[in-house]
Amino acid sequence: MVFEKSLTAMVKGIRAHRGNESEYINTSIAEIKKEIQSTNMATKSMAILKLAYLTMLGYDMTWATFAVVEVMSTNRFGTKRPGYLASSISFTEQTAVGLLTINLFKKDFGSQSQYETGMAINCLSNICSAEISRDIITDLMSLLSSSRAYLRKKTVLCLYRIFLKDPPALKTCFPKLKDRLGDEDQGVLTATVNTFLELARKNARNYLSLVPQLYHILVKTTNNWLSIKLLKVFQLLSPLEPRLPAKLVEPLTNILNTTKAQSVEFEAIRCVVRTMPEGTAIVALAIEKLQVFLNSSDRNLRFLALDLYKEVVEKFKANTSLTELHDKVLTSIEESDVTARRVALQLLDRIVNPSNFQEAVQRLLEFSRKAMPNDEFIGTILSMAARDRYALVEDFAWYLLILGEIGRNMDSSYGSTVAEQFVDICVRVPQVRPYAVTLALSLLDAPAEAENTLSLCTPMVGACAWLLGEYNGEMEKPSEAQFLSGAKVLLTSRSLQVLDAATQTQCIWAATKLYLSAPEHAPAAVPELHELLNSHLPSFVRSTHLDVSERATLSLNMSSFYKADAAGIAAAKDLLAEPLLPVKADAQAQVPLSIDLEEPFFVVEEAQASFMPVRADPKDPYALASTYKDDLGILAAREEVPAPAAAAATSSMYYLGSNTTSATAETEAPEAAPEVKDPLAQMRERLEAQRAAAPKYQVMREDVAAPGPGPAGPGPSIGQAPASSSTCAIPIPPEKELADLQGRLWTVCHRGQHVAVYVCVRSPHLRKRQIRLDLRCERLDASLEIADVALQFSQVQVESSVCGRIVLCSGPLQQRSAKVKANLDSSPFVAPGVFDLRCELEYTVKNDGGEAEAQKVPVELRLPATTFLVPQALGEDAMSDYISENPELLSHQTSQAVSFEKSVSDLPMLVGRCAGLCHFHGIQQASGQDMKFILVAATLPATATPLEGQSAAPSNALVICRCAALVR
Amino acid sequence: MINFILLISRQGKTRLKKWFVPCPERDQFRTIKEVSSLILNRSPKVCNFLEWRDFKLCYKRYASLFFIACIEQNDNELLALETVHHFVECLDRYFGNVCELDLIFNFHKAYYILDEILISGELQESSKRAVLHHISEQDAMMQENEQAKRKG
Repeated sequence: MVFEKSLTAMVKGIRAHRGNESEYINTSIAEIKKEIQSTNMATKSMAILKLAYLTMLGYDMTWATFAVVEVMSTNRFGTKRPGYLASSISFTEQTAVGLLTINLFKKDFGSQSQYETGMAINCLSNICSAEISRDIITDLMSLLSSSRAYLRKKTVLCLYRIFLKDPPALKTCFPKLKDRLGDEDQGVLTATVNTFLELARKNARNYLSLVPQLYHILVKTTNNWLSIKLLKVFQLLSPLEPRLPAKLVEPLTNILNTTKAQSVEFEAIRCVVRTMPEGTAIVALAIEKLQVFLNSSDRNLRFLALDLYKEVVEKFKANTSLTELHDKVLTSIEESDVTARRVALQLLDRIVNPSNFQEAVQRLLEFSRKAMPNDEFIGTILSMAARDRYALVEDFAWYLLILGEIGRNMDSSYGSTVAEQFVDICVRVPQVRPYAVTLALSLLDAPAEAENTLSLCTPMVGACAWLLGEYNGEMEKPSEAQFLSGAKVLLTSRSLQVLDAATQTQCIWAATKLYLSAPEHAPAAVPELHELLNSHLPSFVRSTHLDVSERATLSLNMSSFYKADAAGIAAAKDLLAEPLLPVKADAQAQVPLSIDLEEPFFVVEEAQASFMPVRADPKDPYALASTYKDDLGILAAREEVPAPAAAAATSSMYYLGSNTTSATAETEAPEAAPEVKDPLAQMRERLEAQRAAAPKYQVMREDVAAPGPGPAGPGPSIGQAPASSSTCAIPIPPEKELADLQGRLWTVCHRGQHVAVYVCVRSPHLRKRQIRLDLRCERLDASLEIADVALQFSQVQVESSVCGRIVLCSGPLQQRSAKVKANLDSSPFVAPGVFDLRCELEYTVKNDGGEAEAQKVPVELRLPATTFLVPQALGEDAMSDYISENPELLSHQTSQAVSFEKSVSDLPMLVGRCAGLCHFHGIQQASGQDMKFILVAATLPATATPLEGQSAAPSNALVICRCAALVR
Repeated sequence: MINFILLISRQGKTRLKKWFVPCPERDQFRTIKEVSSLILNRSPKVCNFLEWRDFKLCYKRYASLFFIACIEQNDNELLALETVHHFVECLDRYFGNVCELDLIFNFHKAYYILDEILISGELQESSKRAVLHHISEQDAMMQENEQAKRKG
């Protein structure tokens, strides 16, 4: 007989062996293993209890599961209880012996003692698996009508676990469970509501039938636990039953006004916020109560109120008194509670408006100086400001100053965002540029704290350099001194050479731009700038970064080419003439992907199939078609607008794209040696001075879309066309001229061994519902005799023909047959799409022996996509309305580029002809040299069953073509 | 619904853990580690709720012990704190001015009490008197058993 250690003894032992507990525990486990073998159930039970304790410390007890079941099945309550405890702690669904418990549960459910039954239910709720659930459900259900409330309560709550494992059980149990809503015992009632709440979270709709009973309980009860759970249920049910909110007004008002429990009050407020419509008295009452919570001394309540306020602000935008909230939020942000601060920052982001934005930003900046991890403050400032294109910012100079201050923090993770906003604002707000340039110069010029370091974060250095280069024309006149100090900072500062390559490149190019625009804005500084470039660029040329070296070489060559000759002012201006515009973020994405410049831009067969044979038929040359050529004109035009994010880096590349010549002038400029003090302080003074003048900022909030076809969404640039442009209909040629043109558009529809067939598709006759085809055939092999050529149509009816047979040539075929007309029934054609009409070519060939051999060849007669379109006269406005009203119809988009060598004045005529031939109605927008055309056509409605292979367009579908002409 | 209840000492030792939803042992220990480091590092001046994964942790410190309840997003935080407090009061009455050592040496009794208060993560008995009555009746049954054993 081993010495039995009690639990207390073991715990004491563990505590006594501090430092080498595991050793002690291992010996204890060895003892336990022996004790478990014992036949004495009390010993076994104690061993299991000790094991349960060790499990909590992280020791495995899965090896003892069988012993646990043994202990559970003893008859004595005292030994049974530790067994049940250990199994609820350690058993999982996968525990194999779990199945052994089923009969045990059944036995204990019928026990005399309610505690034994209760213990079994409790354990079941912890360890039940689908198999156990299925076997035990009937026994458990009978417990629902037990005479003891203690058991009913436990059973109701345990049932939810069973339903999770065995969903069909819910169906059988539902009526009995519903009866428990009428239980006279408050505990059972609360438990039932609890179970229904959890069930409703899975699928609320199933429990709408319980509303009358639940409502009745809500009105009657004074139990706080029950009230909260009921309020939760009603939050789930209200969205599903529109009549419910109105019914709830009275009980909710009651609760709000009478309850003493804050948890109930808070839940009621939350219920009102989530379920009640805006503008009702109860919402006002709830918000009033919420204010009290917000001002509470309990920080838990303050936090919950702030959190709920997020929902309030979102749902009832107009109805909240924001000023008071604003102050409260700012105070909460100042609190040291991280969770509350985060919620408050989110809330601030939502409630801030232009009038309190400045104050909020100032406060956040103050906090950020105090707090160590200040990124969340800065992040909030930046995200608030950038929202809706700086909608909150009224004074941009002030905001730039803030950005400058943030940008001086070297560690901030927001450096690149700050730099991006800095540049973006300058691009969008022309009026702020003079201030911005000066600010950029002073930021760059600021004294560093240590040698070879900058007082700015790297992305900001790039942004400032770019501004200096791009907007140096906006500097205050005379700007010689600023030009010089700018170039000096950009080139001479030794700390720059440790920065990354992109930033160095930006600096070099900014300095070059200063030099190039100096003749216009600071003529006196040209020689010195030239001198600076010549003396400092060589050190960059030697840079280990290829980009830097290359850019420096280019700049150096430019400066040694132009020297200090001021005569080329006009040409230098040309180099930097294109203004940078804010470009849509997705402009680049609209350029088709995977362009292989070697390949033709469009697949020839797809785009030009109907024109191809024009070249093939020497008799009917169509002059226009031969000039068609694939071209990258549109693509090239797109590339001309770089995206602003990469602007600083790429713009300089772009400027090199235009050809220029430039010249210089020789003049002396006095070197300026300005007194240095904190640049931000200086700029602040400047801002104050400027405030008196009250500048008006205009923000270019609209982004420039990429030119050319292909915007993805509705309302493409048609609607954004400048108001000044004139709109007029395109001159479409008269019908006779069109018919004449059309008669010349022949295509090859078959070219076989012996015979070629040509077809010319004429305009359909709308009233007669016919389409006319002109057909011709040609002998290809002169050595053979070919006769009796005919086409057999099977898919459509052909007017005045025998069984759809059209004879192209009766008797022997000479070189080429005469033109044969055929009128096809057009009613089975519907779609805007190329359609290949199947027919059969029949002819006879005389072979060597002089015998006639009949030949049959299948032929596909291609009808161009535009054949069955009807011109649709739509104005510009009507069209953009149509596009915005029917976004779902915008399903197919294609684009194509062509180039002509034609004068601009001919273009409308040309487009008009094309439009006429393809049955479009067209309007023209002209602005300056560039022209835009919009062509519209409707699809022909089907009158007969469409032929297979076609899909009818939606009934109100239009085909819209947008053509943009770019003059080169 | 309460997903789990944890009692963690100020030193980060687990004094009681109870999961009401099935959760593998290994995940339990990982969770305990994560949650206790989160909560032990919070300053006493901050509020008693924090978001954790898809859940909310509501905790309260009583003497040297942190009582932590993990509830779902939709649950009422104040109610969870009240539940925890209810549990603490029951322990206090049962042990008579409960301290951490009581829970260390009588961990099973803490579980028995918790089982009378919560089942499958829901409160089943809000009356402290009833809870203590049930517990003492069961204790009496244990006593009878032991006496019977000694006699037999």
